[in-house]
Amino acid sequence: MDSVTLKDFRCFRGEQTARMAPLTLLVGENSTGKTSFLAILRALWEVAVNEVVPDFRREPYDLGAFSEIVYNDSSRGEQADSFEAGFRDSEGAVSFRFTFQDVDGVPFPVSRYVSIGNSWFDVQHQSSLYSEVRIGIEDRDLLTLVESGVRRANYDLLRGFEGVIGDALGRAGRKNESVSQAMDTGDCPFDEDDFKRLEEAREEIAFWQIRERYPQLNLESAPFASAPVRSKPQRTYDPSRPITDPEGAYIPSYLSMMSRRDPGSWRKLKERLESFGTDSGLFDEIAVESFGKTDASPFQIQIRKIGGKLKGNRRNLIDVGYGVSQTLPIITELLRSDAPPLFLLQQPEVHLHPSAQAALGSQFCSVSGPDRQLVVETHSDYIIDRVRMDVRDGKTDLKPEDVSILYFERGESDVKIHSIRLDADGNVLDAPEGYRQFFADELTRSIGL
Amino acid sequence: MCAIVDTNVYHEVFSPGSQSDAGKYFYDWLMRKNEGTIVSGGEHLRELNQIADFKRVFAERLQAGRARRIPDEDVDSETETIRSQGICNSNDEHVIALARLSGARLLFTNDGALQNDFRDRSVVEGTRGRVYTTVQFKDVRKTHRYLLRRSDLCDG
Repeated sequence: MDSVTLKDFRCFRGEQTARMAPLTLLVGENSTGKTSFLAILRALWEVAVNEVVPDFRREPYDLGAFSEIVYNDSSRGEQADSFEAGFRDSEGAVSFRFTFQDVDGVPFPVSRYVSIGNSWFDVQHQSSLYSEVRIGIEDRDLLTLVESGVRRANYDLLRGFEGVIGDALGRAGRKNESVSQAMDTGDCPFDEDDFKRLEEAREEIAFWQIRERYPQLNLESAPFASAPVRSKPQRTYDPSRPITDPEGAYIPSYLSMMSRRDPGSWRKLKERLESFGTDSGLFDEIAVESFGKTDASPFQIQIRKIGGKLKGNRRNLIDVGYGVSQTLPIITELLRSDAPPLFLLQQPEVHLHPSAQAALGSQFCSVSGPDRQLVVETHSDYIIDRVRMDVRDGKTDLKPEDVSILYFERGESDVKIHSIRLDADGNVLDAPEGYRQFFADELTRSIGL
Repeated sequence: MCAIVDTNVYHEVFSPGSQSDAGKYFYDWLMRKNEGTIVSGGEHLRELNQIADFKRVFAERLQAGRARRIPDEDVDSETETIRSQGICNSNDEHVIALARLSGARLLFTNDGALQNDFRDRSVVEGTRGRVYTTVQFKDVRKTHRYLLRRSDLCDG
């Protein structure tokens, strides 16, 4: 995603566009919509890539019913009747845009729009029976009707873009003999070359479907959305199926299963985890201690910190600082070989000393890139500053344009998103009036000026 | 608008107990919403970085996008170029280099020779440099207010 556009979603009144980058940091005061922003990113992924109706109540983002999600300013009597969200990916010249309306109290994507190059398709859901599909090339367009194919019982599945558009193109006359008929009658604004372009666009849309684009992925894990507080460590774990959850409760079982079943991959992951552990000062070694020889045997996660009084001893995860167990789920997800292409992280710095927060910033720089996008909600200056410095000093492959800082600023009755950039010298560009004013005031008071 | 603070007046701006009224006015301009930006780099930054309070302010203003750091190697190289040309009357070629590279055309200094160099368009091209000074008056005068209200003292 290169940019995300919202309209009348939660606290974001009117239309706003935010610049996205391989590493995007969300900053701002509490209750300014940062988590809502993460929620809409997941929803966009679900509706555009997985082609399902987004669940706005699924953890870690429970935004409530439609009436709580659409922009609503009771003091002014303003209540929108729909909200919109979309994104653009300039590499593929693709943009998606969705309009959500209230269907039985939940947001339903009644309108789906996708454009690829000069071609565009606008699918308006009319009923469980049919959708209106407008096919366009630049300003020429044609309206057709196709079967909706929506499973009304639980509203969870959308009929995929590719299929809908395929039907629409067929109806427009591309397939069978009706091309010439449609063209002869003057109903169709497209010639055969246009249909070739539209067909190419339809194939591009298929590429966006996740199974083609990311065949290695476990679909349950895409995207990875972490909760702001991760699960408590346990002294001893009983093995369980490692099913992804936002708090990372599955991580110990995942590590145990990997160490037992795939020692080669475990060695690589262990090496990466320990590299981060050393850089952050959290630990130098991580191990799975099993109390038996079967998959059903209980186990412990143990870590070792070399140096100081702890030298030589492995300690149980529960016996060391909370920072390790709170960070482990995020770091493991970031470093696993089948990591998903989109990470949505909430305050990954929780419980971490500033030096470990800074190391986390470097880690984000090293794992984000064209194939993996990280969106990180944070209150940590240490993460942001480390990112800024690593980019400036060339310690990462990320270029200044690969980092976006989104500042969420509260207004009287809404929130504005400001897109802040970095330059090659580490300078912060496009910061709005009032950005970091609190810090300036605190510093002035601290110095005594 | 962007400005350079000469090391000979840093205490008037950044040091508790040594602030002049005009220095505090300048400091407030730097710290208030949507007002000033300062630039530094090279020898200028190495000198000022020895002052703890300046370091803290500069680091914070960098994070806020209200300070710009010009790469040290660029400032040092430009300083050498200016020095070899022998065009400055002052011995503050590094400040002139910073002005040339950053586009800053406002300088807070009490050094007369540097003031002349900074205002000389054959030394610093483009918009003529303006000087914020407390040589005559340490209290806030109309000139101080006028200079900090200007929006045209940043080239490029």
